[in-house]
Amino acid sequence: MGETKAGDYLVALCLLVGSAGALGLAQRDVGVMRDEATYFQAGERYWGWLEEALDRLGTGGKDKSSIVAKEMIARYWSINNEHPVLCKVLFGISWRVFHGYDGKHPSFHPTPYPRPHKSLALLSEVSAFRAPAWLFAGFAVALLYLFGVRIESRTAGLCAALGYLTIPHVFFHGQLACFDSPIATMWLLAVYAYLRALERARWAILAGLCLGLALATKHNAWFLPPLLLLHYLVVVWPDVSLRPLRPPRIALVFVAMAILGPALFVAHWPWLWFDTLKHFGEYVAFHRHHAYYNIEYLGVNLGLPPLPSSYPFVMTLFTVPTVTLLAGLAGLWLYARPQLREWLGRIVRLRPVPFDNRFRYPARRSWLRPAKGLDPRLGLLFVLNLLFPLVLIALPSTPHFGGTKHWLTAYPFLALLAGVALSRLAAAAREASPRLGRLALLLPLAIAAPGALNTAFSHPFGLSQYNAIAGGPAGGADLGLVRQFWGYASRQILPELNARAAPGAQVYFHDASYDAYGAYIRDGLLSPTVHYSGMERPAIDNSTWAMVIHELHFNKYDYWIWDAYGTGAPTKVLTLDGVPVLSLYKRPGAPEKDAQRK
Amino acid sequence: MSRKAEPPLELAGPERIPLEPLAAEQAPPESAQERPGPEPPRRARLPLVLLGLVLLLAAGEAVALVIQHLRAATEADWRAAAAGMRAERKPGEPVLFAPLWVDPVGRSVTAGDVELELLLLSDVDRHPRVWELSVRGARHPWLAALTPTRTKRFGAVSLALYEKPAAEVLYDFTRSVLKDARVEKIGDRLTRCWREGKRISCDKAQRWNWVGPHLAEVGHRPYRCIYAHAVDGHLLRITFPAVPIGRTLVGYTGIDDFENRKRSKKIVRLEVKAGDQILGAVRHENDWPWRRFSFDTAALVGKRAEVRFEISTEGAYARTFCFAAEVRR
Repeated sequence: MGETKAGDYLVALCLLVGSAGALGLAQRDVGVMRDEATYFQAGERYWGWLEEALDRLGTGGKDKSSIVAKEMIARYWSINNEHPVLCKVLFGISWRVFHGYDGKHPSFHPTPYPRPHKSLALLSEVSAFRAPAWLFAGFAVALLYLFGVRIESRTAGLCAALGYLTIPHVFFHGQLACFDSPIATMWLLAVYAYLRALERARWAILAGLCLGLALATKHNAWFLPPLLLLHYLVVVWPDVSLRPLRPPRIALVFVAMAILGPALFVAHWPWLWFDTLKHFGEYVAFHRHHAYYNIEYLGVNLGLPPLPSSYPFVMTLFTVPTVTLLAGLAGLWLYARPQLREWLGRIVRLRPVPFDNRFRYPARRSWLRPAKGLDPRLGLLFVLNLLFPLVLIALPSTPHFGGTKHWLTAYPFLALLAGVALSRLAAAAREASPRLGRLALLLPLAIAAPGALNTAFSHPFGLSQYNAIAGGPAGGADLGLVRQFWGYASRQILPELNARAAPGAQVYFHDASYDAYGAYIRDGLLSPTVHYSGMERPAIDNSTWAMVIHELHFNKYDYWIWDAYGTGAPTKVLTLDGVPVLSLYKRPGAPEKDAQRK
Repeated sequence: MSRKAEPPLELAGPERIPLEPLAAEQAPPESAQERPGPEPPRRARLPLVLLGLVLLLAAGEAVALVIQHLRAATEADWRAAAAGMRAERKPGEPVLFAPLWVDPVGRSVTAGDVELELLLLSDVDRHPRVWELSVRGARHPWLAALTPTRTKRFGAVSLALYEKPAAEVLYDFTRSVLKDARVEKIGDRLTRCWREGKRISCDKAQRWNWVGPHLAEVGHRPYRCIYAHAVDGHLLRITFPAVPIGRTLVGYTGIDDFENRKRSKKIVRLEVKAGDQILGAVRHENDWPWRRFSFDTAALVGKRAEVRFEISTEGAYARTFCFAAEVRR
């Protein structure tokens, strides 16, 4: 295994800054997701508590204790209490620092402000909320580089970092003020810390803290300790099996995870500071009994279990760049080959594997350094973390809503495997021919280029992206795969509404939520004279403009609009490579801005 | 993660035993040593071949993406195709779009040409000429068995005209329901339903209990049909008096709205009678798409008869049943 040098940290920093910058620039065209809009509101509200807490602490008043009083916490922290708050708090702080309340549109803010905030005013309102997410994604890219350097080589690190960033859905989710990209980062960080903790006591404490941060990011992290425990048991088994009467002591890393993880989780979330068990139970229940949303898969609208197990695998096949996918599988093969040969050798006669195991038993390990001297089984670690998120979604009872974002945590490990494979290929090629082997310098470009192109072509409708195997967005539509969700495509129709909708026009925004509508107005993207007509059929009947965001199950809204407006012809259709993503209708006879001016 | 403080993640301890290379590796066979040459052994070339394949794959994938992106139909293609069609199309001729997902773009560029009713057809049997605007070589499912009379390409968009024999419709129940139909709900007692705007209502308290023309979503496609929500413990009867009878009575059945199809799985039964004669029955299952039925009425051809549609179910919750029917010569 290689070492990381100062230059590597510089490269990692460049990757972090470059990735975050690219995400920040790209996201300006991306509409506000339903969930994001809720998190904006929550982040701002949580900031309100922090601000009030800081005020009270600063003034040294008598009522310091009331900032943790039940009523006070309930007032600020009850919003969106089905998710932990780390990301939302960061979104709120970022909003306050980079934009803040500018004195406009007070009714769209969840908290009344007596006066505008003084802030750095560096970013637009939506961008300010999103900024922490770019850093999360950028951090994952940087960490993948360092991880790759440690386990294999710089080539592996660079290929892993670029391969991950240019998975189009990774890039898309990395732009957003949501939790899916941050949890992929925190999951990777926790795994890295755990791996280091196998031989360094200090990293055990860090691993506990990382798990706590991961738990504070999204509920996926609760699955991490069992996975790591499974890996650990396999790692120590060769040693333990030699001393069956001396069971291994519980490793510090798991003690730290068991204590620091939940402690940090509770500590970071004021909502859990009272009625803890009740609130925690509600949090668990929300995710255990999550609603089944509708999602299109192979031309069928899925909405009820049993759901097809192939879903996450097929979606991965059709959205991840093929070169990344194949390189990842090659990496998997490289790690699995010796073990497979050994297992197969027990069944059929095979040429024995050359004995090259560097590890010897019994090893010098302790509860502080629980795997010192043992094979860390990197391949197994990566495979577990790659496959588990996909397998979890593949279970017939697991809701499939939300597409690839639910197994985004798998992709850093796919990228690592791809990086290892390409690194070994580069080394072998250079050894075979120093001259031709120089072509291996192109490997980081090779893994990044297809995904980067695919990302660029599908921007800003990243959820409609499909790779070359699927045939691009149009191929995805032919295959009957999910077109989009979250109602974010409305962003690109706002200029049309601003230009044509008469003041006071009632607009049916379909799947774009009221909070997203409010965010567009706050951000200056939508004229405040455009009104939100509400939801479902009554809102269509009361509207003069109506949009439909195209998903298979949303066709019925199209037909409701036809029925209400007496026409089936949209006034404008937004497309991605010819695939409709949004239709805008105007009620025949409804006044337009220009007509009113005349 | 300071480098000085940390050794690399090398788990082999200082007690590691340096292993001797295998004898076979140490001393390659003499024959191998005696085979010097400019060509590296085949096995040694494998990494270079794999490297070339990876680079080719990446380049191929990138090129494929560019081609897919550039080959997408543009708005100009669509507008040109629509203009080409407009020059020859007569009012009332249906326009279909293929693949189905491209429908919004097609409707957008043909705005003002295609009446709403032509977007709500159950089939194109009654139309002798049908136009199709398509991309990616797709064919609308209703036209799959036909050969176009004419085709023309406008960039990535194809315009095709299909000409075929047309079915003659003697009576359209869907269009006549408000004008001609009498609706009754038959349970322990008989309830006569009454005209109320564009509906025939059957219950003042339960506002869902009505019959009338409707635009339904069945199988995520739009259809004009007669809405007839099934009623628990009742037979919903829709009677059309003095209907001219032809050789067949053709219709379609469905359950409106995917949400309702998720809420219940109950079957809805539709029985069709002409006078005292049962023409046929359909047991419409929840997951079925818009489903065609055809009943032979040859025995009654040329006569006028009272045609009754009777709807029933074992569980009416979310059974937003809808059907279309017509008499064909």
